[in-house]
Amino acid sequence: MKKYVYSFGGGKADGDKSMKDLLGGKGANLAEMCRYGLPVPGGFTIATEVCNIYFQNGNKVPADIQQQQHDALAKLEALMGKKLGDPNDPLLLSVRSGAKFSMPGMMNTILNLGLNDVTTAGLAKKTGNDRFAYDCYRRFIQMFGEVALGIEMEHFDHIFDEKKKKRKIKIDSDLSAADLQSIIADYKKLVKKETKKEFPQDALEQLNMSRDAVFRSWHNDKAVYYRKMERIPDDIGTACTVQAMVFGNMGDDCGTGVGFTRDPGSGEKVFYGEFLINAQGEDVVAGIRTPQPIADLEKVMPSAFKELKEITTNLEKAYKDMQDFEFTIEAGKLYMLQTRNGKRTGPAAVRVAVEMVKEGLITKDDAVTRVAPSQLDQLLHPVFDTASLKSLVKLGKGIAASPGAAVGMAAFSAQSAVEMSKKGPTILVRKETTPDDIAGMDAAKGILTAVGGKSSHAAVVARGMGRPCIVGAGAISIDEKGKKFTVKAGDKTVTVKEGDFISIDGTTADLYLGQSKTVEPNTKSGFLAEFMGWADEFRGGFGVRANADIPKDAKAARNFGAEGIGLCRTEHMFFAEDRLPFMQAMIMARDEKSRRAALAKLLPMQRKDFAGLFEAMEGFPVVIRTLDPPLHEFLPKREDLMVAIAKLPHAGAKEKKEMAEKFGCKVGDLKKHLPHVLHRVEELHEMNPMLGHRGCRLGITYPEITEMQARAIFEAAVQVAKKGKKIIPEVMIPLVGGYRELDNQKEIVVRVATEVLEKAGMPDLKYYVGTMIEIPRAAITADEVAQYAEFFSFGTNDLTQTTMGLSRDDYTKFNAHYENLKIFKTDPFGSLDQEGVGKLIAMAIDLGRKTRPDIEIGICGEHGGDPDSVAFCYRVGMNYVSCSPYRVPIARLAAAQAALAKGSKTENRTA
Amino acid sequence: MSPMDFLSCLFSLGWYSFRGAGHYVGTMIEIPRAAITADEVAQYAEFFSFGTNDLTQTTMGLSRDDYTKFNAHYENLKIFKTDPFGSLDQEGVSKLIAMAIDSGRKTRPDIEIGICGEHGGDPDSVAFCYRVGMNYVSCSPYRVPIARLAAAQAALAKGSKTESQTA
Repeated sequence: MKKYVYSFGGGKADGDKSMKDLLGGKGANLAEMCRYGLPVPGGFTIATEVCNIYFQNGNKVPADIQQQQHDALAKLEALMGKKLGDPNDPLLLSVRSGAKFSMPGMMNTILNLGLNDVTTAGLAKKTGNDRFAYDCYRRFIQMFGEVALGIEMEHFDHIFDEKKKKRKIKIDSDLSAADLQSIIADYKKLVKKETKKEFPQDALEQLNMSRDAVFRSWHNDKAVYYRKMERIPDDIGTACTVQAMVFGNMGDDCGTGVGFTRDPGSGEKVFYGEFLINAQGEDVVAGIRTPQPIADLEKVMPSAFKELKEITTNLEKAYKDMQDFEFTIEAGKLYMLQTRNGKRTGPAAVRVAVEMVKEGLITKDDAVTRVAPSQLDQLLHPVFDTASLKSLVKLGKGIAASPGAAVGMAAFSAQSAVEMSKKGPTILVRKETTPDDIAGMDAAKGILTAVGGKSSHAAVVARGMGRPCIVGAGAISIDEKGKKFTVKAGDKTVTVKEGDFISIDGTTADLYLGQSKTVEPNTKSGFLAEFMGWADEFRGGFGVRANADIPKDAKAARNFGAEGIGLCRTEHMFFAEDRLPFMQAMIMARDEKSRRAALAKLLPMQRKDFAGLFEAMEGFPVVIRTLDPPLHEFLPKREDLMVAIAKLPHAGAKEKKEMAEKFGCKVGDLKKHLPHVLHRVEELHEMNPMLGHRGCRLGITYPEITEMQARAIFEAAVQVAKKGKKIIPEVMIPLVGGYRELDNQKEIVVRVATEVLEKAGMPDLKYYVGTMIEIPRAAITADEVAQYAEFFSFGTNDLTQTTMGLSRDDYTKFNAHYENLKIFKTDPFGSLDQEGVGKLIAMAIDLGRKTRPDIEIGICGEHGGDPDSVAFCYRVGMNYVSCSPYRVPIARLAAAQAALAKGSKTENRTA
Repeated sequence: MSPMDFLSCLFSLGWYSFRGAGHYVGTMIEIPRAAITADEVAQYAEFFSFGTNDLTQTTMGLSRDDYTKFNAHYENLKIFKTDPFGSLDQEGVSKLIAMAIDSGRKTRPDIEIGICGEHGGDPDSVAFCYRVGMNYVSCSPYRVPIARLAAAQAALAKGSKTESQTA
């Protein structure tokens, strides 16, 4: 008989920390803590497999597993010396979810299970505390009612609040035992009304129903959303841990709390957390009462504090990672309820990893493997410009919960945040957040709450998502219905309405009215620089370049560690205001002579741009792509021209002047110019421009364009090389489908290069001519293409579109369907389709290297900044990836991890 | 797909569904990704029919309608030997088709393979389809005799290695 239920308690456990797949993170870690002999209340974990069996078996747990559960319960009863349902001294249980990967607050928990009319009286008698017993029963009916019976929480809240109102009571704990009994009676009536059945009195029935509810919560909306966001598979299921209750709410010598062995926001090595005296577990996280900092526990319960600190310090050493723990103190005695590797922000992840290496706790390999590349994003985003902040009104301070700067429009509900985020950045402003706000928190750039502490839901989730977050900003008074908040700033009262811009700094916890300017973060020193240094050691010769079109971006890319430019899109230079008229003149030209005249005006401008790029990237290669987009993109829109032509006869002088400016001609010429341009626009109109007259097809039909660009590139090269700087130009021909196109364009480039270089007396200046591979035909015939190409650069944006026959813009019409049905594992434009497009890429690399073994191969699509795609590029043997400057460090880390994984053949997922 | 393509495809499907007992479920191969993963697709497909109009557009990254803007240039410079929408691009698209047939037959040796793009009525393309081991071509009704003759010539050119097609 296969084992599905694993017991723990009394210093022994069936499981251990290696069994997360089976027992979930929570179950595995509880078992491990028991093995260490730590004070953990006994219990048992029903394996994750049972969750899947439950669903396959028509939402029922089979009898043999039920029997294992029964035996485990008997074992627990023997251990605790109490029996479930005993009228005099009942065993009470908690029932919790726990999957392999932590999903905080997304699934269900039930506490105080085992209470009914009879056992509650027994508990009251045994503890001599009526109020406590009835409060537990009241909480149990409420939780069980919501989770297992599906009754809306607001019905329970309504009864509870009515009672408080009637008794003129403000604080829950002022309700007497008699009040609670009357609430319980009303709760039971509510259950009868909603479910047509009595509230179940049989403790075993309660247990089975709670277990099933935990399994079902695997598929609730927020859990599904969270898994999608965190890319956690849907089919791994949750375990269910049943554990003896300990009580933090039996009096003032009791309490409960949560904490971290280091600050999960900054990573600093300080004992971090919060607790509440006389409270039950969920109260701390729920943000209903604002808890006390954990340091205060030392004053209130010194021995429990000392033990807690010792235990958690040892746990950190045993797990070799920052721990996130939960504890309860019952009548002065400490119990550990959970430990796990804590979720943390990007800055914290880096600092913890670096400091743990220095403490000798982990190796550099561990450190580099452990930080998720996407987490670096938070360290690379701009920070507030201090000068700009001075001009804003400071609205107050809260508690720093998740670092980083965020500017956005205030949104007072999750729904508003989702809606408004389509138009611009938002900050979600809530009294406190609940798991139902997850979509809004995801949509917002930052989160601000008025109540709750560092362990509140908002803080935990914001850190997980890497959103800047301020919690507990008690000075602001939020009117959620009226969609505004007010706050005293100096001697004035400021009202912030939905849509008003605010700026929040999650590092300092300062809140400002208005939009602050931002500046680049410092990546050249501190923990990040040290960490990236280690990553680069493991990355070895695999290069990371940046896509950059202008010298400013190239400089930023160098700062982020780029080792060259993998893609310079020359067309971006033509869209600039001072150049567009010449570009348009070139397009309007009817013959080669006038085209050349217009191109001659563009030549010095391009030369200057290229020289800037070469200087910024001194010593590193610069890949310059010749003109790519269809020509109509440089002309006014057809609709705009038609409107202007219709308006022109009736337009006043002012309007005519505006038109002339907009369309780049003299007022007197409008009448002739507009129809002329319209005619050309209509000539250039295409059914499917993406697959039309663009890329090398332009260079082949108008060779003088390629010629001008080649001239600009090599004249710039000469200019910079003459200053004694080392430059490596790489000319890239786009949209090549076969070798003949490349041959045609390469011939032009080489002819111009030879002429320019010889004239300058630098015939030996080394340069390369290669091609983008973005059309399947080029990939299929890569062996032939490589006869002409000195490098390949996979343009995976277009290669994905053409290989999959899928327009990126139109995919949004049905992407939800495709991804839900798992037809695509993930958005193929976000992360490379390794099974299809990836197969073609691997084939092209093989073919290309057969012809030219030393051919240089890289990727320049947006996938170059996606960690999974970078790992793929590493595995198939590319020489480098190229991505946007801000993603360069992410790609550097992803490549280092791929290099490390190749050694051990396993890919690690960060906690 | 034009109405004529549609008819010709129906024609081929109808032909084969009457041929034996039962029915067949298969797929058009007109997207490069399907050709590249033909071994996996063949686990589910009982037949492949190469839709070469779209397969040419996607594999060459070339819109048929917009090609007219620069076709003269391309064909004069011999970048394309001929219009790839008239006669199958035998150096590129065909390579992909041959690869897909190989990997499809590895999974399902008896998979039925045909072509239903307009190339099915072009003699040079028909000869290619014969050489690469397809089971049939499908074309517009008026081009059926042309395709029959082209197939016969391809068979003769190949020598005695004629495989008997369905009657």
